[in-house]
This record gives sequence, structure tokens and C-alpha cells, in this order.
Amino acid sequence: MFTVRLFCAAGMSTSLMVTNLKKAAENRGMEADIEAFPIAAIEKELKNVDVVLLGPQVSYMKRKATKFCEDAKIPMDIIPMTIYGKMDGEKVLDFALGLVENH
Amino acid sequence: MEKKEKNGLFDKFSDSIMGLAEPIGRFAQIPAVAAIQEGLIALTPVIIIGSLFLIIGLLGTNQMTTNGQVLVPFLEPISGKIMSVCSYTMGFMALYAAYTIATAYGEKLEVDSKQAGLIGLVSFFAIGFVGAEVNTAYFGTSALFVAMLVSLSMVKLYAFFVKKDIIIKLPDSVPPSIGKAFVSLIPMGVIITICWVIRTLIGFNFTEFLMNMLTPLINGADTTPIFIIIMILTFLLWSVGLNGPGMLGAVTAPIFTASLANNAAAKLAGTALPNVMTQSFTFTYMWVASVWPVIFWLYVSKSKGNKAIAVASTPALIFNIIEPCMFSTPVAMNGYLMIPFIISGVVGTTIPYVLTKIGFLGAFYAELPWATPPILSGIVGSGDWKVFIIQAVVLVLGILIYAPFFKMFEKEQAKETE
Repeated sequence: MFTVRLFCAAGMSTSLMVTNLKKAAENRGMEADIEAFPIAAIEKELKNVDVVLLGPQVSYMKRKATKFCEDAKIPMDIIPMTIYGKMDGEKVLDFALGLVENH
Repeated sequence: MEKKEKNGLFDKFSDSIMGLAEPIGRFAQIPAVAAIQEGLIALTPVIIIGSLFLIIGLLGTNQMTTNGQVLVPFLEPISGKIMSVCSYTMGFMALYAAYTIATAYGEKLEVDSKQAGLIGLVSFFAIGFVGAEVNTAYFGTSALFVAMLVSLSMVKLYAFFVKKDIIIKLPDSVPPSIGKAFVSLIPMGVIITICWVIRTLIGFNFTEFLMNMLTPLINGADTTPIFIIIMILTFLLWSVGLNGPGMLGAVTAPIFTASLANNAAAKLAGTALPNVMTQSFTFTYMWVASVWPVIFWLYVSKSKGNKAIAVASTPALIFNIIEPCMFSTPVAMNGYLMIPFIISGVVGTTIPYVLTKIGFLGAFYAELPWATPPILSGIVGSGDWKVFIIQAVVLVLGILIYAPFFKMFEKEQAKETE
């Protein structure tokens, strides 16, 4: 099971991303647990997570997110703006898998 | 593509906005500040339900028409009863905030949030009243700052006691849920005593004092220059892809909440609405003026890629979610489109602000969730159909402001694909 958590301001725009990400995972026959939350909830949503992705609009929270994710030993990064804007599930999935690999 | 566009000036521009974002972001993350914001956001359902009752009730009065007719006559006999819900929803904002802010702050400080919420409420009463003589005027938004200050400082004090271990510890054989309640005993005793000494023993009415001092400050914040500053910051931050309204929420939320409740109370009383700056007001115009024009230009663009982005971004944009358009066009960090984005946004929100201030447009007295399409939020929130005209005006204005910049952007795109 590949567990991904996405965080943005209110969890709204990343919830669009989640739908596409799930589709991409399904296409590849991966078993995935993908969910979006508001960035304020990041502390509570890091249990059994493989990778954390931040929406670019909350990149000002990167420092805080880094701290929590480092403590929890979870790879984390901000989704690049252009992939995020296109809501490109395939590319974001590659991005997430890349993060896990290089961790 | 992004690398090529960058030149010295553009880099400096975006760097300086990023430099601005850093301290704002850090400010928004201070636990007390974040607790205020989260606590006020938690009040949203109460605000919205109160708004709906107010709107439905108003349909049964003659306030919605200019000729004194009642819009929905069968509601007339109970319209007063319907609108009365407003008085203990939007009318009791400070009381509820005392609880939600304290709870949120308790969570941040990692103490028992139930006890923290309780301390917020108890200290709010203890600092405001002598005995059980409760004055509901203290529950309204004019006491919002009292609620913030009291619940934050008292929860901080509570956390201090807990962290310093100045608490009663029961033996391990006692069930933890009972033990938890005893933890609060000493800090709660101290907190209530402090409030009681100030209010009852000395007789100093802190609530009244702060209300008199800060109410002019809140009402004073609802002015054109301050509104323009908030809008400039909002659009500057979004122009580099950062969620401006989210980051500024700690400052704007108290102003927006107070403004809305003041207006709702005035509407209920049938008097002139005092405020302009509410959340629904900004969301009614903000993206219509600054992001919808981008979609327009993408649709009419000759490039198939641009058209595809427009089609993909439109559904989200209707519900005020601008990320797809901002990041895929992209508008954010785009040397060509950042400037018209900021200009059209600031101009397109300032125009309706001024028009509302001078009384041409109706002010907002009701609020819908922020993701309500702007075509609805304006008419429902203010009951003024002229909102549509002004929305159309700022949209067209935005399209014109973007025109030269978008042409340059398209030329650059064409060059790259060659």
C-alpha cells in the first residue's frame, strides 16, 4: 500500500489533485491510499504515511512541514507549480515515487 | 520556459515578494495567531446558518424591495421569528469565539483542548460579569477582541501551570479521564480568582474598557486605504503562487467577522449598514476581476494548449478555486501575467468597495461559504442586483488590463514552440 498525503490551504484544490492521482495509481495497478488535508492538520495526519506533498500555494509552510516530516522520517516536497496547475496525476505520481526512492 | 523568461528585473521583483511572504508566513504560524484564525474559521457554520435565517426572514419583510412591498407575503407573520435566530448566532460571535479560539490554542500548546475551551468560556464570563447578571451585549462582535485576549492569555497561563507541573496528580489507579479533570483544578482556580479579583473585587470592567477602546479600531479598519493595502498584499502573494487570503487570515478574519455581524445586526434592526469589508464581499469580486479574465483570454487564444487549460481550469474557478488556472497558465511567477493580475485584482476590488462605501451598492449582511460561486454570493449576500453590473464591469476591465500583457505572453509562447 502506497500512502500519500497532500496538503494545501483548505484541502480543496488538492482534493482535485487526489482524484487524478488515484486514477494514475489505478492505471498502474498500484494499491494506493491518497488523501488531502488542510495544511493546519499536518501534525495529525502523518501516521503510516509514505510520502507527503505540499501544494505550491502553501510553500510558505515548508519549514514547518519539513520539521514534522523529518521527525516522522517521511519524504516531503512541494509539487512543482506547472504540474500542480495541470492537475497531472501521472506526473505527480512520478514525482511522489521519485521522492520515496531518493529518501 | 520559466528560465528563459527571467531577467534581472523580474527576478528582483519576485524575490522581493518572496521576501515579503517569509515574515507574513512566519507571523501566521505563531501559535496564538494561528489559533485566532482557526478559532474564527470554526465559527463559519454558525455565521452561515445565521445568514440563511436572516435572508429567509428578510424575504417576509418590506426591506428587500424599493416600493415597500413584501417579497414573499406568506412569510410575513413569522419573519421576525425567523430572523431572531440571527441574534444568537451572529449576535453571539464573541462568546463562541472565546470557546473555539481557546480550544484551538490549547491544541497548539499541546494541553487538554477540552479543558482549554472550558477555560476560554469561564474566564470570558468571569472577566465580564459580576455574579449571574449577564449582559448579552458582551457576547457580540464588539467584544471579539476581549474574547481573543482573555482566552489566549488564560489558556497560556493554564499551559504554564501544566508544563511546570503545578497540578494535582492522582495515583495511577485512578482512571485517566478523572485524573485529567483534576489536572485543571489548580490552574482553573488561579484563573477564575484573577478574573474575579479584577472584575468583582476591584470592580474594573475590562470588557467594557477594551470594547470602548477597540471598537473604533475595528470600525476604523474598514476604510479604503486599509482595504487597498490588504488587497495589494493578497494579490502580491498570489502573484508568486502563495495563498494570500490564507496567510493574511489572522489579520483579516477578525475584521471580516466583526463587519459582517455589525451589518447583520443593523439589517435586523432596519438601520443603515455600517461596514463594507466582509469575506463574501471580497470573494464576490476578487477572482472575477483578476482570474476570470485570464480564462477569457485562454479561451480566445489560438493555441490549443491554452484552450485546454481554460477548459480544465473553469470548473474549479467557478467555485473560487484558482490554483489550476494560476499554476497551469501559469499566472503565478509569470513575468507577463503577474502585473495585470495584481493591477486588475486591486482595481477590480477597490471599485466595488468605494461604490459600497458611498452607498451605490448594497453592503453585505449575509455570508455564504467561500467556495460559493461569486455569481451567487453577491446577490444573496447583499440582496442588491447591481452586484451583477459591477461584476461585469470589473470583469471587462480585467480583460482590457490583461489584453496587452496576454498578447506579449502569447508571442513568447509562439516563439518557444517554433
